[in-house]
Amino acid sequence: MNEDVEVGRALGSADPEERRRAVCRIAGLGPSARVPLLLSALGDNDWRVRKEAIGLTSALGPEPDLLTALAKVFEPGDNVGLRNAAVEALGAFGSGAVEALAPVLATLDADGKKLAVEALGRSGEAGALGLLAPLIDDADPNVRVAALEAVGAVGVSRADEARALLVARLEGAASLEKLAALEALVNIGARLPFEGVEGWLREPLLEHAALALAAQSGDPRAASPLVQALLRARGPEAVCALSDYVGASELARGAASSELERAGERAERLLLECLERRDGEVEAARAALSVVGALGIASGASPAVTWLSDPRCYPEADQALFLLGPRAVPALLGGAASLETETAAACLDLLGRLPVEAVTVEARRRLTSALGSPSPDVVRSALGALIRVGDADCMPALVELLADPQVVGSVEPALVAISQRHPARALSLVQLGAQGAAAHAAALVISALAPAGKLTGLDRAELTAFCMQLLRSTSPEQRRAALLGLGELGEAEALDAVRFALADEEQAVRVEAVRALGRLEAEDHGSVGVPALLEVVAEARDAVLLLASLRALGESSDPRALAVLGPLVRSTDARVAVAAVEALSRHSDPRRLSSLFDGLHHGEPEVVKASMLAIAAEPDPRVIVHLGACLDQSAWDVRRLAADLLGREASDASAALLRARLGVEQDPMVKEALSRALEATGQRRSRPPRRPQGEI
Amino acid sequence: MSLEDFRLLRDLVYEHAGLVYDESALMLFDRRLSERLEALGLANYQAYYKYLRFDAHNQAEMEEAVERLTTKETYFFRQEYQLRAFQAELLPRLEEVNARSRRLLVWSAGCSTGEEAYTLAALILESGRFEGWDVRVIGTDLSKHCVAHARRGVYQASSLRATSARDKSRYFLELDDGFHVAGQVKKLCQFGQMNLFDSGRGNLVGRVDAIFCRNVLIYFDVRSRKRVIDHLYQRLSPGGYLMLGHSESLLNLSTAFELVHLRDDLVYRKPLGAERSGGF
Repeated sequence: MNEDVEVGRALGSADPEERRRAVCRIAGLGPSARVPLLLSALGDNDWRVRKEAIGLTSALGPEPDLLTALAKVFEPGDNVGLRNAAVEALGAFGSGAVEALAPVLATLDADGKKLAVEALGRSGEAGALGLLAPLIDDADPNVRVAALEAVGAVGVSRADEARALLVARLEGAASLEKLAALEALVNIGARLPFEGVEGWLREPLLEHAALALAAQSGDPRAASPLVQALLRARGPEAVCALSDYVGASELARGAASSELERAGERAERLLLECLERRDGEVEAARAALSVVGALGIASGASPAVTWLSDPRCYPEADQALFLLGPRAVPALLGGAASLETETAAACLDLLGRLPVEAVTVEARRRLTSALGSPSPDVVRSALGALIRVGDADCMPALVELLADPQVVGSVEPALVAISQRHPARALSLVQLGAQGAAAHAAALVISALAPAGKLTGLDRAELTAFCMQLLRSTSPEQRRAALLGLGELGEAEALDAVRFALADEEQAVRVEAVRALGRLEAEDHGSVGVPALLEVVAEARDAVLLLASLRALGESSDPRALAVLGPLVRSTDARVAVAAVEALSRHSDPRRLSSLFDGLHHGEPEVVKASMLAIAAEPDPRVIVHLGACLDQSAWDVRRLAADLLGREASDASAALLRARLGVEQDPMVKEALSRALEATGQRRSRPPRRPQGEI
Repeated sequence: MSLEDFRLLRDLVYEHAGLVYDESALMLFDRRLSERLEALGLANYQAYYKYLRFDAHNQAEMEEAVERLTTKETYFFRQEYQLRAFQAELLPRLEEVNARSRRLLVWSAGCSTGEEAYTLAALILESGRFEGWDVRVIGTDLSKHCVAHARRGVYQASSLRATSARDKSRYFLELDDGFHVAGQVKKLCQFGQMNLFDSGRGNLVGRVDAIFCRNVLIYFDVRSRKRVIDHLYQRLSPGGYLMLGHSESLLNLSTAFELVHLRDDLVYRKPLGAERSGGF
């Protein structure tokens, strides 16, 4: 027996489960066999079978035959289940639903139209607006209401168009249609003038929608009815509207704040009561938290803290407390001491995000004491906060935590950040001869302070000895920190240890060793690391190390570097050539200029550009000639840079070169640069007097 | 692994690190490198050869391959007779020679996981001759994993099989994860990754007073051994000593060293006054 016949028979079974299972088999059938069986399943009298069929319809995608068949379902018929299922199934096809319903909509009766309109609403497609517009004025009131609702559902992305349709319908409409239109306007986020909305506030049927629209208006006059509604209302609508209102504008926030104050304690109490209901919907709590934050209602801080552990309201509670700022600190301190780790962690995290000046001494103390929590989450939150607001008093506790593998990754950045803010206290942690966590801390302090040149106040010889000892650490980070320190200290006696660090198994350590070598100096300020750097360059095996060495050589200004750097400008590896050019540009020996001129003839434009930039500031008269020659290079970006650099010169020679090139240049971007440069040269120098006509 | 694959890979390893393998090492190659094929998703050893030759990451993989092929097992206080000679006869001589500079630098070349370097540091401490001196024991190995292990300084009992109970208690701390080398010994040691075949890298250790290069030359062919010995010679201070494994010698490799007869051993010495090698 054919599979489709068998599936058809199973769909006719008396057992709903067998019919549901049969639906699953429809997917394996050919397209022509599938459609009638799917329709049969969509019209099944058991909801589980219909649900399975709707799911399968979505999974099969918008096949033309299927779409046509679904649209046909809205023609007169009495299978309510099938028609409702078709609404759901078609709606899921988005633009496919619009395409399928467009040709049949006009032919449907009122019931069919209403269902088709619902499907269009579910499609979420703004393209459906064209089909819905005439139906807003349909002869049948149910169709009109459905069409208004559908406009609200699809009109967000074309709000102006949708708003025009809806507003046009408000005049003289029946109450239910008016309500549908107002709710649709709320849904598309329309901002109607308050004076237009005000009248509907007095109509009980329309009040909720009108309140929402009043809130969306952001008009200061809306504050009073919104607060009054809060005083009257039992449901969440009033507080939700107030929440929307305070989010609309600064003006609205000011008006709401004044109005609440005028309404007295009761209004605030009712608002805070919304934060006490924990069962069921949390919509009101979310809205109340938004109001508390936006209006800075300090009495809301403590209840807000209690919502931090509820994922449904966490974002609003966090935002409210953040906006409360210093006024939230007492509540956050209470929450930080909570036994509920989620609340404690969230409060500590918030304390760290408050403006630094809002964080009190007590708050810092609480952050430090939280480091002793048995919960790693709480400790991590406290550490995150200390990165921003921690002071030197927490350093000893941080050092202790360095021994805890669970949190050490969060302790390190905290200690580094605090060391940078409090260098003097941080240096007291550099205990010479330290081991374990103390050595780790010392390494972090050194790596925090060395780049800023703040390793002062300690005995240089002792610190050098300590760093050399630290080079034996098993931790690459500590070895790197040791080299940072040795580079900063620059003591020549570290040469052997630093040079041997070039044999470190970790590249980051080797690179740091190269940098340090460039900075070690003898008593006469001669660079003692240069020979080792030259060896690295000569070896040229590790590209990263080579580039770092070239940079270090450039910084050393040692005359021996010139002989190595010069030829490397011509290296076929552009990275090496550029690094050599940059190193030469930092060198002080005037002989470097001829090597930089060599770079202008490199085949790689990046090297040429680096060389141009390196020579541009040189006072040598040959520079203009060389830059002028670059105007004829084949790479457009080289020509453009040459134009820019010549534009900085205030000389007749550079202007002449620019003008000559402008006459033949084809590339529009370069032409623009040439014109700009010419203009700049004109602005910077006084024009030479024009020669009298006829004078040679 | 076919013989052809083996030969291609073997020659590549030789080119990179100067290490020599005859055809009996085919199984070793297959056993130690097969995991790399899997890790890199390569179908066969020919693809692996191409990877080592041409891939952008070939240098790192070459190091990985060589590391897998060369990792060797060692232990503390190995070849005790030689260590005794070092402690009893060479250290007093070095103390005398370096009395003015008060610096002592010993190099464990091919230190594997660091047992030899720490042993030498312990012997230097044990001698009691160098208090207040600038003493350094440098350990280098081709394998970065070995170097990292050496830095950690934590060993299992098998590494201490030739260590006396007295030395165990004096130079190690037994904890849950193994025997930790004592702080005073660790303080003297520094480790780094280095290919002895590579002359430029040798300069990183500076001038040394004694080199232990035991059971390392066996991995090289004659030409490469000469090259390695030349590097070691250049690294030694005049009057400095070279210690090889008990089955190794400089026969047919170098005439630049003097042979020194000690009570328990024969060692090589760079002649005093020699500044540049000759006779290789």
